[in-house]
Amino acid sequence: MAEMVRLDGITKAYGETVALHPTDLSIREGEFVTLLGPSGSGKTTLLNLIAGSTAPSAGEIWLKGRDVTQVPANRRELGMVFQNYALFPHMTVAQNVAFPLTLRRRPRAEIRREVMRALELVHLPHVAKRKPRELSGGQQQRIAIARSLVYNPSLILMDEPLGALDRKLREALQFEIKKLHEELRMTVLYVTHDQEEALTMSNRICLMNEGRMEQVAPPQEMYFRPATEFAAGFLGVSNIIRVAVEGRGAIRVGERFALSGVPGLTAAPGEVVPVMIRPEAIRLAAGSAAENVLEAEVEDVVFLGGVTNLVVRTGQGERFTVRQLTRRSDAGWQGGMPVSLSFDASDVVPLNGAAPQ
Amino acid sequence: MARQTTIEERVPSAATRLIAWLGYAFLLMPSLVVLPMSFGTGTEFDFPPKSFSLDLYREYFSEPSWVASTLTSLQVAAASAALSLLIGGLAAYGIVRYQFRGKKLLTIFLLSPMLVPTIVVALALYLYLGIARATGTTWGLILCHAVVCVPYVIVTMMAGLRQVDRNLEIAATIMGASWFGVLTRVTIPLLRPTILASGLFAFLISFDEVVISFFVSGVRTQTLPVKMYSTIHWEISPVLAAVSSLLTILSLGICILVAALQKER
Repeated sequence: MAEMVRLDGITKAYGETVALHPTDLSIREGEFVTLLGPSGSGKTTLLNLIAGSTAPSAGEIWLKGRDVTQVPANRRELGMVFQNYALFPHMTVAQNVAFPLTLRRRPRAEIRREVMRALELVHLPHVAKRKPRELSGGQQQRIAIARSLVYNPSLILMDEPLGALDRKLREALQFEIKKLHEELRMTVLYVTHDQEEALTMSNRICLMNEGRMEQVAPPQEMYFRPATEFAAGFLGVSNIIRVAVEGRGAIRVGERFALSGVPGLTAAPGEVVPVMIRPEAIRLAAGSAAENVLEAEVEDVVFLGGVTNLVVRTGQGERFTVRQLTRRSDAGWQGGMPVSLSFDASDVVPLNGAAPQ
Repeated sequence: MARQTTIEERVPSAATRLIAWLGYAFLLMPSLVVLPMSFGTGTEFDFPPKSFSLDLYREYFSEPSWVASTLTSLQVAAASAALSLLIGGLAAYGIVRYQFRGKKLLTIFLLSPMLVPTIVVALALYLYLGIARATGTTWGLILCHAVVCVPYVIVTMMAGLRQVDRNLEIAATIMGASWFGVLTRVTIPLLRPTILASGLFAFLISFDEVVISFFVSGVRTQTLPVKMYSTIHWEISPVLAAVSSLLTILSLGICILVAALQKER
């Protein structure tokens, strides 16, 4: 598919402080890419640079094969959805949605038709004559989405659009945005600090930290093969430990626990490297009889309903979080119990820094 | 918007209310005295009037010099309100929406006519108009009034502009609106109550203005307050009571209108 957005070494600095280090990114037509990261990670800066609200300090922005670095915001043919909806309070819902079409001097009949079509897409054709303030937050954001897509912009930017809504509504709208994206094949660049939102909605996640792109990958890969300690820690619960490399793909975790065939391990023998193991990938057994296991003691048991989280501590003092499905037949884990841990080499993720592409 | 009741919004006690009403009475007394007097008869100020009539109003409306100065005042007030809206509005837009060197200094400079004693401003304007050979002209008077109206317009417009969500302007821009398009389709419509309110204020300030007008107006451009002032000097006529009452009603009307506009926002 054709490339919709290309960022070439795009950079933003305010005097001495660098808000965005040189960044490259390519977004394909019809893709849903999420900028995920904590506040101050540079995701909003990146969005504003693409929107044209701020000018980059260096680098180029290409949209649909056109260099738009010097093009003012109003000629970039973009759509945008804001966290606070940004609907015009002095216009009716229909006038709001018609706004971008009116600017383009489309014929009246066409405007009326397109506005109704857009309102139907967000299931709100009956509120056309109302003012935005008469609608609920969720309805207002639906109208804002309708307004952003009514003129078929080449790219729709969404800046934490569900941030002001409560959880239930957020989930409903996540689903609706996703559906609209699939039906209309829109290209979307979505900003959020909510990892779940990023995992459910995106084709690709672009994880940002301290003004840099930490990793760009599809959700599954981002979760199962994080490239850095930050990526491993930001998405989901993770156990990050340091292990000694003993050979090609071989590591030693504890005195009685060694693994070989760890995928993607590039460090040389003798080095100590950070690796990640997800809590649900760890097997837990009572006692310490078995071969090739890590001996530990239960420190804390948190019953969460369907799953139980256990915090265990190894002889070397390393803590692991272990997640298990709760079974009624379980004897019941208790603090102080001796246990043994094990996991497969394929579940060990070396955090090498640079992602092997 | 839902309003929240806070601890500060308690019902005032009887004593507080009494003090408040005494304050109002003190402020309103002069106007309240003038109003009955304006319905009197004869050739002298009478309070309380011995008989009621509309003679004084009739006299005011039939005397060409009163009518002429009223028209001059209305003209000058309308024009200087429009002019100060234009200047003050643009200044406020620049100050609120842009970052530039010397912004604070410029703001203080623009507001300075509010801080300098009126008589000083009046004298300065008199000298300037003298140099420009514009003393006694209507447009000279309009310019002078605009000087004192602009600061008030700037202050109200700045407050109004700060209320306009920046995201609305950004949203309009991204959807394809030019700077001018954003201004005319988004910013100005949202500022409409503020624009009307500050325009009305400017109108009122100009209409009431006496010190500067006294310095710079000529025989043909005598405004209503100047005419009233000179009337007191030459022939103490009870028509003044009628004029004052009309002025009070006009001011009151405008103030109520402004209050209503502010509520609408």
